[in-house]
Amino acid sequence: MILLIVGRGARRPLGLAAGHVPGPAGVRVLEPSGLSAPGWAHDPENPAEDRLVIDGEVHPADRLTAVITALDAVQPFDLPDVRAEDRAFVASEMTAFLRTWLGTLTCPVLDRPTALALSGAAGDRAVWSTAAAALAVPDRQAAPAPRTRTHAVTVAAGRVVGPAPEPAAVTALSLARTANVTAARLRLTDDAREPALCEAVPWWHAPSPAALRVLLAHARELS
Amino acid sequence: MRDRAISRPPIARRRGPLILLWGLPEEEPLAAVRCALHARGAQAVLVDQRRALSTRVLSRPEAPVLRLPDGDIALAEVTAVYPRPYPRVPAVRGDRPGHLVARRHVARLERELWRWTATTTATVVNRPAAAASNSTKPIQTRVARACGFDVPDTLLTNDLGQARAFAARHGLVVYKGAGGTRTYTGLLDLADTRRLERLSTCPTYFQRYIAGTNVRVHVVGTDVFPVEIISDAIDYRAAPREMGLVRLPEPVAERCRAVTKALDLLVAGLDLICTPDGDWYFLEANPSPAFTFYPDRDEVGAAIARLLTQPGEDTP
Repeated sequence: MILLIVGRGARRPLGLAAGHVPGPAGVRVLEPSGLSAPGWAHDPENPAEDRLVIDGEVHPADRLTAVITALDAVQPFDLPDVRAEDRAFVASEMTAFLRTWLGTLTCPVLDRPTALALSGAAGDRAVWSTAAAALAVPDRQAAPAPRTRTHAVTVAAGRVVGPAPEPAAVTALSLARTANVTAARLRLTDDAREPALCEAVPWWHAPSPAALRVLLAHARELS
Repeated sequence: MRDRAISRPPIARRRGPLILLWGLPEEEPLAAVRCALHARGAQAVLVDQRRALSTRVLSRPEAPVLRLPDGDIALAEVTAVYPRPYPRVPAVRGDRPGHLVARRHVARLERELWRWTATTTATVVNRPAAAASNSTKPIQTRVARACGFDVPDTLLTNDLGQARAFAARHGLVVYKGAGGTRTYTGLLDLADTRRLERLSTCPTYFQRYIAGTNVRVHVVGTDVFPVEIISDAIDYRAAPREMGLVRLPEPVAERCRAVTKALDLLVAGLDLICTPDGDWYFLEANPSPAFTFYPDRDEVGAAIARLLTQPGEDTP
């Protein structure tokens, strides 16, 4: 079972109608409100006994074959059924729960959470700066927005998703590989010889059904 | 809010370290460190959250510039940072006209400053990624166990049956926040059905209750400052009866240093419990400790000031 974790309202932009996921069976979707279904249990010292709840069914965590995370933190607006005065606290606790739980799963998790984001390092400027420095790619993340043309390139599982000029595509793939990030959306200057990195965000910030399909295929390969 | 072509004069720069403090001037730990830096004759500049609307980070191709009400600072010149921003900025509370614009300005300022603290080569006490460990306490306990501490048996669950089974195994059980929101630890009462009905809302962090003496250890670089707290409350912060300086066995002090280093922190407040049998349990680490609550506040403040002014000396 592949688990896809998304924020509230993220299904439609990802091409997921309610209760329907593209690709073969065995892919289940979890929104933060699903953490309010009784049955969840996690022992950080003994995760083999963990339980998760999807669509009201309790499953042992070892049934998971891969997880794709498409949110950085649970937000209060993800929890319309929680009392308004409790939403911020509950969102913070759910984020903490997901961070520790995802960090102990033995199956592939795309990507493992960092201290700052549940979906990994794709939005961490410091990580991209380090990768850019290692590859001698000019890093303009902290500079004012360039006046020259830029290209947004989505990379997922070692592939470029959608059209992109070759210099930007090659640089984006190298950066993602060096940063050890499975999927991201990078903005690079339109420079045939030396594209500069202007911005990097998680792939799902610009939701793309095509990127999701690539990631699901990758998750199945890893399973 | 547009970037003006005419820059403000730079803040007069003295020789030696330049330390940036960020927060509210009256906040006790920040004030204590500021005072200790002053006593050391160090140049400390305060990014005052009360004046956030007159403060901004200017992107420059060479290096960002921090524009303060009193002048500009090239952030590349800053040698150390002590960030303690208060979550709700006083400058933008309320509903007066322009409130939303002001909030956006402050949010952007904070975002830029946090981004800079994440990547600067200056000493940062503590960097945001390291400080964020506070937002997931079960991860801290895993790290502490790897460093040799005992940790209480733990379960995160939103299932009443699982919680009951855990309590049946361990007897007294406490609950606490697993995330970064400040919460008090309480004793699980299985007879409190009204409260337990809400358990399903989200997985809750339960731990076996460990009886013993609370010890708070502030780690600053390689220095440790332990304080014993006598309290009748489950959470000593609610009712500390007596606090006093103690000596830690050296192996425990070494574990404290190891946990702090493993969490990538330069300063931490560790909450431990020493059982009557002499076992040391780790409960949690605070990466932004309110050390002024404890009797050794002056020593801890001075140690943080020393760390900020001589980063090479105490950095683990």
